[in-house]
Amino acid sequence: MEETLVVQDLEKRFPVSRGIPFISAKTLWVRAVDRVSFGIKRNEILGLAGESGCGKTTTGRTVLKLFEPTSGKILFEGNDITNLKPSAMKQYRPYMQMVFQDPYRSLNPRKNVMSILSLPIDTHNLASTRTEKIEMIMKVLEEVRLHPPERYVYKYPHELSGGERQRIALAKVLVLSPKLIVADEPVSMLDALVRISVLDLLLDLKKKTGFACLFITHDLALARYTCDRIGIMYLGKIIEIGSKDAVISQPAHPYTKALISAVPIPNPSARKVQLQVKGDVPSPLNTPPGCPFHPRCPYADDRCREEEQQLTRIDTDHYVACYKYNLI
Amino acid sequence: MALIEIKQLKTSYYTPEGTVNAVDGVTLRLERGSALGIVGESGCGKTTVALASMKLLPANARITDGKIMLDGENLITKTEEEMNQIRWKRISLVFQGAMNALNPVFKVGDQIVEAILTHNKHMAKSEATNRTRELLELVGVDPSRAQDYPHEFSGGMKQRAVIAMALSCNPDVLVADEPTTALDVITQGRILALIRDLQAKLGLSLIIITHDLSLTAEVCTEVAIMYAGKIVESGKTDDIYSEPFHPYTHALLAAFPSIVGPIRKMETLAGFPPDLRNPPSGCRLFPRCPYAEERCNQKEPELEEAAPGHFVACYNWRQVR
Repeated sequence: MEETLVVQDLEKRFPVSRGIPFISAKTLWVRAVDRVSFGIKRNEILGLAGESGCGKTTTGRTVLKLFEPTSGKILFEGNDITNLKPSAMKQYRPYMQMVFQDPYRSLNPRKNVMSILSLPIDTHNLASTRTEKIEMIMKVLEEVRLHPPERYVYKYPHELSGGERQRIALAKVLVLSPKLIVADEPVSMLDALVRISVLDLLLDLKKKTGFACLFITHDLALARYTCDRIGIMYLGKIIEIGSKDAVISQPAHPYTKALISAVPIPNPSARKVQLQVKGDVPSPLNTPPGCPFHPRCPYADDRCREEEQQLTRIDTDHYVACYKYNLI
Repeated sequence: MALIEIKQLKTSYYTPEGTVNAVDGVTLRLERGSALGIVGESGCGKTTVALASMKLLPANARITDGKIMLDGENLITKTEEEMNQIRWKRISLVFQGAMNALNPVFKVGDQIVEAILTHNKHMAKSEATNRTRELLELVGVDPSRAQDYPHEFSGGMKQRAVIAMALSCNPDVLVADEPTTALDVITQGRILALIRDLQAKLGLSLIIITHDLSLTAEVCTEVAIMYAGKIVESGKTDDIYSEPFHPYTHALLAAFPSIVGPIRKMETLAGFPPDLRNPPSGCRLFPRCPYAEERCNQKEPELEEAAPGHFVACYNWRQVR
C-alpha cells in the first residue's frame, strides 16, 4: 500500500531570545521536533501521544507546512513538499487538512454554517454554480450526521453545541475530499458521550473515504481506541512507535511504560501499581545529551547519558529508542 | 452521623433568558474519612453543588430549597460571618482551575502566608511562614521553593501549592473541583497519589467533582452520578462500576475507553441533555433513554435503594444491562 505521508528526519527549531536586548541578548534554539521519521498509509490513523510540550502539535503543523521545517523531508503521496513555496503548496492544500482542538475558537462566530462551509469550496474553486455548491454543503452535512441539513445551514456557531461545532469543523475539511487529515486533540474539549460519537464519526468517514490521519492526543486510552498505530514522543523525539497493540500492550521504552501506568482505569477493581518517574520534563532549551529521558529514567546508566538512542526494530511493527529495552 | 448531609438541595441561576434550575433536589451523604466523587457531564450542576455547599454561589444564584448539614448544623441558616468561620477551617474548596489563579506578581509562599493570616487574625507572621513550609513539605514541594513566583512552578507544583493553601486551616472536608484537569497524565497520577496520601495521613474527607469516571475509580470510595441537575445513581464505587443500574451510568461507563482489557465498541446516547430552563416533566433522560416507556415521561422516578447502599432513580433498572 502506498504511503500517503512520509516524514524523514523532520526537524523544527524555534528561536528564543534571552538576556537584555542590545546588551547581552543571545538567541537560543528550542528543538521542538528533533529528527522525527514516520509514515502514514491510506486509510490508516497514526496517533502521536505525549505530554504537553513534547512537540506533537508542532510535528502536526510542520507536516502540513503551517510551520516551515528546519530540515528533513516531507513527502506527500510521493511528492517532496518540504521546500515548496506557499503558492506552490496551494495545489496540495485541499488534500492536506487540519482539524483543531477547540471548536469554540476555530469557527468564525460571525458567519453561519453556510458561509463557513462555502469558504473552502470557493477558495479552491470546487463548484462552478451556486446550486452545485449548496448541494455539496448539504451532502457534507449529512455525512457528518447533522440532519436534517436544512436545520443547520443558517445557524451561527453560538447556536450549536460543542459536538455539533466539531462536526461542522470536520465538514469544513471533508468537503475538500482530503487525503490527509491532521487532527489535533479533536475531542479533548468535548464531553464523554459527545466525544465518542465524534470519534466514531471520524472512524466511519475514514473507512468510507480512506483518508490518512495523524491523530494528536495526550490521552493514551483514546489513542488505543482510535488509532491503528501509535508513536510516543518525548522532548521532540519519537521514542517508541508501532502498532497500537505492540505499543500499549507490550510497551518497551521505560517512558512509555510510565505513561501507560499513569493512565487511570475506569474500573476500581483494576487499580494497579504506578511506575514512578522522578522529576519533571527538562526544559526544551536545554535538552540533556544522550537519551532525553535519562535524567528521569530509573534504569539509566553511562551509556544512556552519553550515547543518543536510535529507533530500533524489535518486532514486525514495533520500534523503540532504548538499548536496554529487553533488560528491563 | 454523616459529616456532610445535603438534603433535597435546589439551586437556581437567574439569567436574562430565564431561571435555570441547575441543581434540582440533590441528596448526598459524606461519611467521615470517605471520599465521594460527583460525576457528570458539563452543565449537569456538579460544580453548583460544590459551590452551594460552601455558600459561595455567584450573585445571580440562590439556594431555593433544601438543607446542607455539616456535623448536624444547617449551613443554609448561617450568616455570612458564621460561614467565614466554617469556610477553610471546616470545609475547604480547591476551585476548578485554581492553579491558574495564583497571583503572578507575588511569591507562592507569600500567597499561602496571606491565606493563613486571613483566617487566623492573631497569628504571628513568622508562625504563618513556618506553617507554610510545613504545608509545602506535606504536599511534596521543596519548602525552599516558597520564594519562587508562580511562573517558576510547573503545573503539577502549582496544583500542589493550591492544595497546600486549602489545607492551611486543617479542614475536615476538602472539596476539589476537577483537581487534575489540564494536567499531564504522569502529573495527574502523582496528584491523585498525593490526594490519597493526604486522606490517609490527615484523615481528610473528600468530595471530588469531575467529569472523568476513571478518576473517581482511582480515588473515591463512593460515587454519585449527576444528570441535568439530579442524582441518578449513587453508591459504593465498586458497586457502581461493576453493576451500574441507571441507563445513563451505563452509557457514561461505555463512553470511557480503557487502556487495559479488550477494545470494545464504544456506545453513546443520541441527543443532548435537556434545557434546564424548561426541564421535561418526567425522567430527564427520557428523550435519550433506550429503556424509556410511557410512565417515564409522566412521572419522575425517585431514588430507590436497588441494592444495599446502592440508589438509583429509574423505573426499569432491573432491565438495564
